[in-house]
Amino acid sequence: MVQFLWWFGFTLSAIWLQKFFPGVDFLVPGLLICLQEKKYGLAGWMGFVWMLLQEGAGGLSFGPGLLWYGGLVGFYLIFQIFFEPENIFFVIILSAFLGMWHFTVANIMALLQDVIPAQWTLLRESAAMFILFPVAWRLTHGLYRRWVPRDPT
Amino acid sequence: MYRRSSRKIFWFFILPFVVYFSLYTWNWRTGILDRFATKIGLEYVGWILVPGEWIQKKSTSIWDRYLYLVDVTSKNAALNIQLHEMRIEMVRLKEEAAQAERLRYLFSFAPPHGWTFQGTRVMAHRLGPNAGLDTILLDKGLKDGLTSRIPVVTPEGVLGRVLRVSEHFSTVLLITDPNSRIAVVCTQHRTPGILVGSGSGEPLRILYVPLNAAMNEGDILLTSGLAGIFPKGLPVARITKIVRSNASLFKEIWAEPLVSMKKPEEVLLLFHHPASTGEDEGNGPIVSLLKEG
Repeated sequence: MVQFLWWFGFTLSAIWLQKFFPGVDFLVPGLLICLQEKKYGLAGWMGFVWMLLQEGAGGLSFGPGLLWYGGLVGFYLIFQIFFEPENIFFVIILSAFLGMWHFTVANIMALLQDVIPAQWTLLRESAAMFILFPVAWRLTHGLYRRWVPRDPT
Repeated sequence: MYRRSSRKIFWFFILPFVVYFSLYTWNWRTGILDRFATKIGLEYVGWILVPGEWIQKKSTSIWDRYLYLVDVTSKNAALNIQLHEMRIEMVRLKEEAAQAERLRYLFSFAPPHGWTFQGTRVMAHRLGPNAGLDTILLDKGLKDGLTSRIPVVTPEGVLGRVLRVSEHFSTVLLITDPNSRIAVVCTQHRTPGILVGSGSGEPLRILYVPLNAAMNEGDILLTSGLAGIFPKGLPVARITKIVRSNASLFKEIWAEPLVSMKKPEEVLLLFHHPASTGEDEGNGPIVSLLKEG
């Protein structure tokens, strides 16, 4: 029940924060926490719900959300071999990846869907993603540890 | 060993890639996932934003009513609404006067079809990482009679057009987005062109204006109504810079939107009613909406 309430509250707050920071994903720290806690089933379900929300609120045809979250999961699975996932350096490297990935996904989708991307806007959003992600992750991680009890296993 | 690594490559890279592009192309042909994401995703995001909007509105309202000057604020708001209405009315009358002058010499005149306004609130701007386009989120959808392509304006001018619609919410493509194209004419010389966005905060461009065509800095651009989306004569932008290019057959022209794109709070949706007389155009809904706020 605590888990459910926590993730429900997190989703509401993250979407609200997205209103004040255009183009930045505040749900992605939640997905990282699910992966760090090795709750892969939960990551799958939450990732699916968040992808659907982001796809619906977005302006492009279906596709960027799946690529965006898929990229994060792929990056995590590869780089967790070399780094400790809860280390802040890992999170900073991941935030740099997300900054670049945001720009790349938008441009790939623009190419596939024959739309013209606003490059400067995308660059600004990528920079904001890079700067805000470690802060958002640190805050979310701290609150998660405080409110959600750890599994006895 | 070789077999194990090739199997890993298949499971981690090739299979997800194939699945993704199969889904993508299937959706591109059928649009099923688009409709599903719009119905579920846009709808839920809208409902998530609604309580916050309510709290924000209430807290602002309490501040305005009890801590600020009560009468002055409400009177100022009412006068502002009146001023906006007068401004749009003035532009419309000016355009109609100029049009009447031109049409006096013509035999046939097709009267413009009727349009009605409906006010709505802006809930968010460029929401989430998949926004991709320069868009805003509105709190009106299919149940209010919205369909894609409905023009969205403010009393100052054109803001954009409806792009995606769910049951109660919709997204609007702003005129600043590079994918927005609007057929325009300048007020003074009636020179036509195509107004194109360059991204948020960047100047708009006017394409396909011949070198010998008359167009001056400071001229107001109006919708020409040629594409059939926007009604004729709505103010859109003001020309800021004109450069004669030696390498092109067309002038390079830049303009600024008449609407402040920073944070529009309320906007008007324009509905086309071919049968209506257009007598009540611009009346009511936005005023009542603002009064409600």
